Amino acid sequence: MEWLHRKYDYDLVVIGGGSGGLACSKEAAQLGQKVAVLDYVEPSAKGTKWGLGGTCVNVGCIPKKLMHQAALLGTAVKDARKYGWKIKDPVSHDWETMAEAVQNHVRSLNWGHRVQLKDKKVKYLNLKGSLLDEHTVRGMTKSGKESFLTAKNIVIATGGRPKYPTDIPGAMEHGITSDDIFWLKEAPGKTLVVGASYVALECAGFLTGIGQDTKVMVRSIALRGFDQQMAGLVTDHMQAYGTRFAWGCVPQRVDKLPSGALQVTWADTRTGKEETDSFDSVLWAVGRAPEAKALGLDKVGVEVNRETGKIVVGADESTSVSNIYAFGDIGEGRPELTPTAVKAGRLLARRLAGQSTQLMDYDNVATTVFTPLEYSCVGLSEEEAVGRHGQDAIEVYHAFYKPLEFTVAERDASQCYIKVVCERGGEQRILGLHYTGPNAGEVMQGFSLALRCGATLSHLKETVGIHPTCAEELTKVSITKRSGLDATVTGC
Amino acid sequence: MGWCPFKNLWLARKCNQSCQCVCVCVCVCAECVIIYRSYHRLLIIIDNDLVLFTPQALCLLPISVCIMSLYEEVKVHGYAEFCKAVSDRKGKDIFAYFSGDKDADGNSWCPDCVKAEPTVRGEISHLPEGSVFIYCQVGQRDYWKNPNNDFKKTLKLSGVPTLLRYGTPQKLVEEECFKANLVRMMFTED
Repeated sequence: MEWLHRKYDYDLVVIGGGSGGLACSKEAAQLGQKVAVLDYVEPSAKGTKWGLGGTCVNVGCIPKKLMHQAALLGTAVKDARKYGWKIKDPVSHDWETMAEAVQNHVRSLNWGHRVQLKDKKVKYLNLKGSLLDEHTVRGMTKSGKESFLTAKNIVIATGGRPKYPTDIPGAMEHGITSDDIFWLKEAPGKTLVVGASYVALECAGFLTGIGQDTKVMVRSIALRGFDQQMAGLVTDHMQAYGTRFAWGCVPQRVDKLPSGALQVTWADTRTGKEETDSFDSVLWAVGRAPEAKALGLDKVGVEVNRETGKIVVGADESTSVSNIYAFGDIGEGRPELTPTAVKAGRLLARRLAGQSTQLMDYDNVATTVFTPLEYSCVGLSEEEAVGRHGQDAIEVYHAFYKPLEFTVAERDASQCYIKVVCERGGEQRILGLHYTGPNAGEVMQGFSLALRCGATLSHLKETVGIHPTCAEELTKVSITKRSGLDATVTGC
Repeated sequence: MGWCPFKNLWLARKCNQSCQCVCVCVCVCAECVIIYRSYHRLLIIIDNDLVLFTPQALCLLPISVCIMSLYEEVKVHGYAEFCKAVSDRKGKDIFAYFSGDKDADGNSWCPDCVKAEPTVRGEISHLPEGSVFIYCQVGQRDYWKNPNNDFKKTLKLSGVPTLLRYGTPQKLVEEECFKANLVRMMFTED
């Protein structure tokens, strides 16, 4: 008599097979729920499409880090000569070799996800999902054929896609976005990257590193939302490294020349003049828009933030409709990161299965920007700390250091820097940690645990550093900004 | 000779390497006995008529059947033979199953291979039309244990049994081959 109790086709239907959607559906299935996940990739304006796994796997973190690594290896090869390696000049890079290797790895991850879903008995449907009512999801094929699934609970984890500027003629016809860069068959050549988000800087960074003539066009500031002193160090390094920057410039139009090159015209707000130059590729990295428009949210009554277009969510990822949840990049106010989406997805699955009441903690999430000089941070930026506590209530310890590996390689370490933002009084609880330097992500991971445990400045100073490393410099900070003293670390 | 309504052509009745006999009986017309296996149904062309049978019903018929499957099975032994089988079939959708060598009694030194084979064979009817199934015995245990053997070094195999779709990242390794649903997924989904 099971059919009497099974009112819906599924206990849970997840729309979106990215980092969040997959983690949520797999966890729910493991807890005994009957789950289906719908994943569909609308091709980019240039026609690029990809398999299961979402942005991170296909057009985000994974290919980005691999191409960043390709660029770092180029620098390492040059350093190697100073370490005695006999490497012939000039060293050149082949885009096709790198792209194929990266794309093959991504495809193996797509397959890995297919195997995992099948193994965990999650039904995977390559259909474009939308809401018909609060318990019904419509799935559509590329050709428009419809099917319907009913579900007790629905989770929306559709993420976002790069934005194209709407007011620049030629932007969409001639430009590409991060959706396309990793899947290009040929090197992009002389590239204009428009934007100064981490996406823009990371892409510009690895393009420069593999030998492409790259220019970044910034309207106002770089890495908005991040600590601005650190952002300055990142861009200073990129400029020294070979990326050209056009500060205070706004593109106006993009035209295709008979040669096939792209002519970009822009306004320099600092001089008031109009400039023009030609490029092989134009990469728009001017922000990401949530994938919410085609979901049918307004019909079902799921509230969306008017300004951002993202779904308004509660601390438990709930929406304005009681059995519909949303998380990941699609959630208003949520960090656009894979690990937070994964964790939030798993906790949500546990709550929906009645196994837990634990909510996702979005505070003190460490993150890294993989520019040629990497920048990692956890906790508050200096500006945020000053804003929340007041200048007088915080103390900032800082140090300019030189990675040992840079010495023999004769590399400039001017932008290698550490900043510890803490409370000035009491135990001097650490509010934020900032680091620019090699392996920034690896360095910061352990320290993010410390912050979670309520680390104070004395904890940090009592910690014995590992020598010789860059990470140990965090345990050795002693100069405050307030003192005005020179913060350059002298060797041991 | 037999007439195939799907392929719209005449086919020889002589079976090739890929045939899998289902049952043995006496032929009715002695001419048209080409059968296309379509999942769990067997389509038999008898006297130019297309007749549909389930495997159970087929067993009751007094017909000698020779089933030509939609895929081609190739049995190879060792790396060189494997490479030749692949290069002889350029452009085809090739599935390869790697197993430890079987001895004279048909038993493999690799216990996981022994366990996985019935599962893989059980799903073989789901192979796509026109595809190739290469059954490859990799060698003796000592050869396999050597980390520099060609399968490990060049094909990047990490263990046996391995079931893979050549030229794609689709692969099932060791315990994954015990799971019929994963094998079926590889054979039927893109």
